[in-house]
Amino acid sequence: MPELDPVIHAESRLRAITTLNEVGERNRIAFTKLQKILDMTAGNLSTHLRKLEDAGYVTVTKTIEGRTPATYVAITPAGTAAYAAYRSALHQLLTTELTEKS
Amino acid sequence: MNSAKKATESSRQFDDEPPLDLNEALGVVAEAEKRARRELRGNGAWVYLLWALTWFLGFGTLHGSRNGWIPVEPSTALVLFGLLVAAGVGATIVIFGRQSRGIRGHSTFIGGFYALAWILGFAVMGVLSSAIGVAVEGFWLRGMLINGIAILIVGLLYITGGTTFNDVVQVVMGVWFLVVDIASIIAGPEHFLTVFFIFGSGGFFVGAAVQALRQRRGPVNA
Repeated sequence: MPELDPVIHAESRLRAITTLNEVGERNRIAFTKLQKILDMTAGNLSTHLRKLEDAGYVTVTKTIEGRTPATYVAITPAGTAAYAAYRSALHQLLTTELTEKS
Repeated sequence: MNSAKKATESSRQFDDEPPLDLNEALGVVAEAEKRARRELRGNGAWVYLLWALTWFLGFGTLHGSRNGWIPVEPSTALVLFGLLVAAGVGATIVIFGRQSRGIRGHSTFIGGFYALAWILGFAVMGVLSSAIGVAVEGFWLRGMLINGIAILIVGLLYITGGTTFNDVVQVVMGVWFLVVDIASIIAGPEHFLTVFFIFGSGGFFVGAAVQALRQRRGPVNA
């Protein structure tokens, strides 16, 4: 039976990593834009990103654009692999659940 | 304890979010993907609809003027067409500018050079149009040739864009515009506007409808 990654299997982090997976490994997204897409508070998003960062699934970089500090977030190759494994496990578990019900 | 429950228990050690069952997780993934695609890739259907209306009104005015159906001189209709296209270009730049804001990396590189290809393509077309304007006397023959070059660029760049951004609708539209371009040239200076008015703007309307349906359907699988 496949296991669901507990770092990903929580609504806020699942939404965050799904969005970052769409942004792609070769891109990074401004924290403010990510926050807008996810409709989360800055504090809440930071908390969940830190958990994903601790697991090595995302990187958070701070930079200066003009005179304004900006934070960018990107999914790592490990994050992409973990997300793909999570999706696969979810699919398998749902299929098993359906088979058991029928 | 099954793995879904185990994962739920483990995720609760990380925070106090309510437990997520399998179907809820699938729903979260589908919704997040749909929203991310809409925010990151923009609403292609609106862009196609914008250009459908631009071509419908622009080619329609020229077509009506050509056949004497509307009391507008061909030169005035041409100016109106130019203004409509300029407005369409401006609106498209605003839409794609908003969509790409806040994203850095490979897609910025690709998007930047794709935009540059459009600019360079139409710069070449501008120079060629001047040469055609000097060399060709007939107003409608000139229009057909210049339009033929412009649509060649549009068709090729739609195919390029579709393959680059993995958008099959855009590829099909590019192919369609090239087919319509060939048909319009075969139809000749008398009828090329009729072909574009019907099949050019029609292609954009169909493309907008198909894209809207695809966006509404969104991802459904785990």
